[in-house]
Amino acid sequence: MVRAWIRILICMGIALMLIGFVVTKEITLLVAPKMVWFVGFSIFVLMVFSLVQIWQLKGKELHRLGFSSYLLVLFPIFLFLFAPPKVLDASVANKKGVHYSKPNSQQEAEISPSDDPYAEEFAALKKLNIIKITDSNYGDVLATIQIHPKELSGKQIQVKGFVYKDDTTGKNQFIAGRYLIVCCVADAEVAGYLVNLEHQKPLPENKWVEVTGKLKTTVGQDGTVEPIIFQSKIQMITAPKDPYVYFN
Amino acid sequence: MIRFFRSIYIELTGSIVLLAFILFTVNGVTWLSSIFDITRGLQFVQGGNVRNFSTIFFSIFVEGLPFILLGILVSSFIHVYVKEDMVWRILPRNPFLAIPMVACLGLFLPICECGIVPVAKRLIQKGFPAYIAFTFLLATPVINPVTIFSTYLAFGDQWQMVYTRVLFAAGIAILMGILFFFVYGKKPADAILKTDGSKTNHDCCDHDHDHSHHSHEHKQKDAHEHHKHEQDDKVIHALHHGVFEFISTGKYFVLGAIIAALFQTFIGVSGISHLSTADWLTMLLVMGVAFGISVCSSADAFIAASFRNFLPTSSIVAFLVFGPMVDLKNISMMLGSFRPRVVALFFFGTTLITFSSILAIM
Repeated sequence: MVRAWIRILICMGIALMLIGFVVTKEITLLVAPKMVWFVGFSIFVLMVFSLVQIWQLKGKELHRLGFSSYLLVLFPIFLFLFAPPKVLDASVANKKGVHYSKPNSQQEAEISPSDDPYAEEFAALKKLNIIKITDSNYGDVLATIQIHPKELSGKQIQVKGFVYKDDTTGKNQFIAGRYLIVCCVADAEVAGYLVNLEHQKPLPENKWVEVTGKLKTTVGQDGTVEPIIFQSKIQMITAPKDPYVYFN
Repeated sequence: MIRFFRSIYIELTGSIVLLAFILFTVNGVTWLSSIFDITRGLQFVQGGNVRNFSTIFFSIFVEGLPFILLGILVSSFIHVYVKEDMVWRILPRNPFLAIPMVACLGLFLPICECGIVPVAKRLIQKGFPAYIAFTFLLATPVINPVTIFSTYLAFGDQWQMVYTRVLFAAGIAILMGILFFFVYGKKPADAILKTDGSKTNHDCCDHDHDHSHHSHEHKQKDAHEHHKHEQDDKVIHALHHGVFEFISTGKYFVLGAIIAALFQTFIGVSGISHLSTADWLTMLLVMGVAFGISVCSSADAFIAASFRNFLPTSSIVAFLVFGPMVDLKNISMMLGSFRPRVVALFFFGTTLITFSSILAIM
């Protein structure tokens, strides 16, 4: 009987927690918007489970479950009470993997114009005077620039992101990055643009900035052509409401 | 009076719970925030890494949960509706025919690696031989439409990586199926399944629903309604069973997610980004990372694609093939369902075959 009540507590507790995530929109800190329907499915099933458990309050114990099982399944609820999730920032970037506007040497050699998946995007970008990178075109533009660094060199470009540095970035350089998410934050990685600072003090890590500058190329240590933004204007901004960008 | 309440018990509790949920959705957040102010104000939980851990843990948990629940529902309904003697009507008796067939089953029954363990366990309980269940468990997370499509997208719309991934996964699953056939071919389910769970299972779940008293009481009611009542009972029974399955699988899922989140917070992919030594060593480390981060098989292709800059192709294939088959949360859930010896055979067999076959062919 007590165990049945604990099972009800678990199913309802997790369902309520998920509803909480959805209502407060904290869910976008965890999974991509397209996955929210699946969260709805979880909520529905857990509600049905807790109802069935209420109906079967005096039913037999179908499995013998130890105390530790219940404790572990309650763990998410405790964690939610004490240490709720937050926005991922630069502090875990190197653990999650960073990939910035450095092209893939392999890719460059292999792709012929006919099977370049970003040919359309490239044609569109070429016509623009200033490339403005938004939340929705973030990944596509980055990929296009990686494939065609030379052709797009000289364009004005504007991008938002947080400041990230590691041992591959030079003294006057930083990466303006965003977390790029496919399904959930567990698969997030930093995707960003290498920015070269001109006549400016180094920026503190993790601050959000909007960079405007000229896209140029440099030759990296391994001989590949790297796109790089030469900054002309940097503006400190507040973190956007949804700090992540999503891969469609 | 009591009888009246009993007869509307289901409707009554149903509406109360529904009402509570709606009330919570509207007001709950404000009620709860006063509690949160106390619990979340504590100093020791405010460290950066604790919060990073929490974020990654919840993302794995929230992302995996629907698929676990789906797996449990499928498993519970197999439990109630599939009869033991149906097994050989579906499958050819010859294992060398059956194993490749099962390896392709995921194309029609796409279940990702989160939901697959409860289903595989149930198949064994239903009398399917171990080699069938484990081939299914290994092949399905990779050989299914969702994974195939996302791999295609991640690798710049090229089919080559998709072929490589699918062929390796199928080959490894079939080889492991044959291995399981030789080791556990004719042994009963008890040799595979963990004892405590399965034993109580047999005692309590195989009981037939005895509805004879119903027919005495309601003789006047027609047979059709009686039949319908029994059907309802079966559904309720399957769902009630699902609750238990949820706790017992959920325990290992949570444990796996905790370890995977710790791994991501403290080690992550930085463990492999500075490597330039021997290919085989890189590959082994990449497999370790694939094991540790436990990312969903429909998303891991995108992570693998980002490794292209600094990893050889063999390592990327290893990541793509090994990750969905063997990862932390998966092994954790398997330890809850199968005997340790079986899990060990599964783990070392798959690791060895993956490692040596990719090293030999790529």
